[in-house]
Amino acid sequence: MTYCRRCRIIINSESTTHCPLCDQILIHHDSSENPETLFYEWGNLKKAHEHPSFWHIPMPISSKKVINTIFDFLMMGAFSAILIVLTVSIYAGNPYHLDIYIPIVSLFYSIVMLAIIRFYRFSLGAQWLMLLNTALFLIGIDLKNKVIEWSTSSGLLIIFGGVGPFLILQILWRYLKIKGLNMIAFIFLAISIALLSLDASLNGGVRLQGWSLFTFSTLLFFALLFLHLHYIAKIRVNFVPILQTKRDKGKDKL
Amino acid sequence: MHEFRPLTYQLDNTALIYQALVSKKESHFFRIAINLHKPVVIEHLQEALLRTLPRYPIFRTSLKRGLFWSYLEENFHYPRIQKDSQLAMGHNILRKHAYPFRLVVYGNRIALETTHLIVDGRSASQFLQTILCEYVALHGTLLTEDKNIIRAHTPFEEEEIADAYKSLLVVHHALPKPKKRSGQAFREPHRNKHPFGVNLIQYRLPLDKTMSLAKSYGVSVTVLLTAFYIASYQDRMFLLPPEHRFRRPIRVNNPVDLRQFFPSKSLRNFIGFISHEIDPRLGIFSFKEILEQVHHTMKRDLIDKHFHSFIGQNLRSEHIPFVAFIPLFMKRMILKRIHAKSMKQETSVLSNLGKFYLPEDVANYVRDVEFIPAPKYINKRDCSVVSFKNTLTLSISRTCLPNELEQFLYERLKEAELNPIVNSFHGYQD
Ligand SMILES: [Zn+2]
Repeated sequence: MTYCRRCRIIINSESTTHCPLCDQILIHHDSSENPETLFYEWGNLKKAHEHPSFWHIPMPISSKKVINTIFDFLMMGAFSAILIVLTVSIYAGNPYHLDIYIPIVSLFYSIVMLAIIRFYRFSLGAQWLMLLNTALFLIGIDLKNKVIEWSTSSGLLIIFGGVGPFLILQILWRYLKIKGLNMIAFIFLAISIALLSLDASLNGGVRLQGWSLFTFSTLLFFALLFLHLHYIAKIRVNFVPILQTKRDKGKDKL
Repeated sequence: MHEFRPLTYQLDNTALIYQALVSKKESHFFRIAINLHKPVVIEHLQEALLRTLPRYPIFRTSLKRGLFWSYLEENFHYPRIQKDSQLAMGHNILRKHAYPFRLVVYGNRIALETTHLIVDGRSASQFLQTILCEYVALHGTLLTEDKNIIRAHTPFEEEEIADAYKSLLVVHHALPKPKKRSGQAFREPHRNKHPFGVNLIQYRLPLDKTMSLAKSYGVSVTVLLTAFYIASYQDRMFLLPPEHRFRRPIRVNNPVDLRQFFPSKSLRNFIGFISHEIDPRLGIFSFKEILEQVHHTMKRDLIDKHFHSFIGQNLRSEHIPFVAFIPLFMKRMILKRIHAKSMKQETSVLSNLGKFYLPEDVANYVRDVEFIPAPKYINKRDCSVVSFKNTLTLSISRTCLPNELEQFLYERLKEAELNPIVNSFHGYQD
């Protein structure tokens, strides 16, 4: 008779070399060691409910969480700083030229970004904050370094012309009482404005190519059509019940 | 040439939902565990399992997925006993030749994990009784014949693998539809643990004291414990922010073994439900009032007429001709939605297995018995009760981390002077 220390079971046959459950190599002890008394000693572990950590109390902030967050921030900050420094120096045509302020600014930028993501979880306000933060970052770099002209050339146009309309669309989603055909019209409008501004930013902010003007005019036509149908012809289609079911899925409270 | 074709079994009505729910990670296994006085001898247990398994054809199967339906197919692979490493509840039963149960061992504990795909709690405990009797017999104890226990050499009856719901098929046409339950019930708002896991808290109560307490109120033990459970759910509601506090009713279900109403020897699923409801929106219920509510609901619904309508409806939905031609993966999607919807209508479940019966000679080997419910992914909490000798074990498995409800239940039991002994792992307590 032998026993497995890991599984605390008895194995009768003497010829078995491995534990049938955990595959551990068995040591055939001398018979003076009685497994039952041996296991009994292990059984007298401290009872869980007498231990103070048993009754789990959820804490809003634990030291583990704080340390994790700090490490996250540092890692992300360092990573994005390296990335930004690299791109900026390549852009400036001088790979070995490193300014001291750019890493600091980019570190600050990435930390603020991460804080927004952590605390606001991509809510509408968080998206606005991120846009604003990025714009400020670009302007800040531009002001310090005369070579880089990101914000004036295309950055701000992309940010406020390309992404802004969609954020305004989200606000409309939230606060418009009747969400019917008018929402389709607003979607078209947002897309057309975004395309227009992207096209403008590609060409250095002044001239526009034909395609964006064409799409803008056609989408504007459709948008006006739907707006007419909704507000003047008063064909009221309501998407709220359809959207509600989708939103309920995510909301798992109560 | 003779071609070998293994037998197949159809899934019954309860199993249909469960076959939709199981996936690689989620196998809704419940567990019945037995703590012996001495460490397990592994060879004897393996031999006992090998002897027992042919007696229970429904256990000797594996789940197969066809084009339109899942089914159980005979499985002749060597059943392996596993080491009980954690309370993860189950394994990937979609693997080839995987058994729909597993027997896990650690130290003094033999635990059977199985699922409603094949059996309910009553039949699973019978299977475990058989294994244990064979195990004890292999130790050299001569066991006398006991007609309550199925031994490995007991002659097999065809009725044991029959679908018991189907035997009620004769009456189901003229039955009225059951009353619609109203709306969603309160559920634990905490999120599931990530990565997913099960936590357990057990209360061991002295059975005689609990019985006498129940007798002093004039109710049964199930009613008493359900009332405690509902009361602690009501306590838990006070922790919520005021705008969320009392927005939904609390509804706790009791599974009922239908064999007491419709005599059947079937060893497969045969359960019905009784649901108890209090609505804290109307005002705070005192314990006495909750007890009265539960008691009278039990009195009203514990009758075969109550279950007829539910079974009738379930069987009818199974026989809609159009449904048969929906491919399995779409059926699973639909069934998942139905399951989620029905889960949202209940707060939790308290299932009482009752007294775990073992013959006198076998009972001397056993210290106590535990019955641990399967993890619930939507309701977060499930509760089950089993009693053996003078210990009543109440186990709550939960999938979220905070355990406020368990603390309230502990206080409630303590106030009633039942002196619960609390465990957060199962097995060792002296
Ligand atoms: Zn081992």
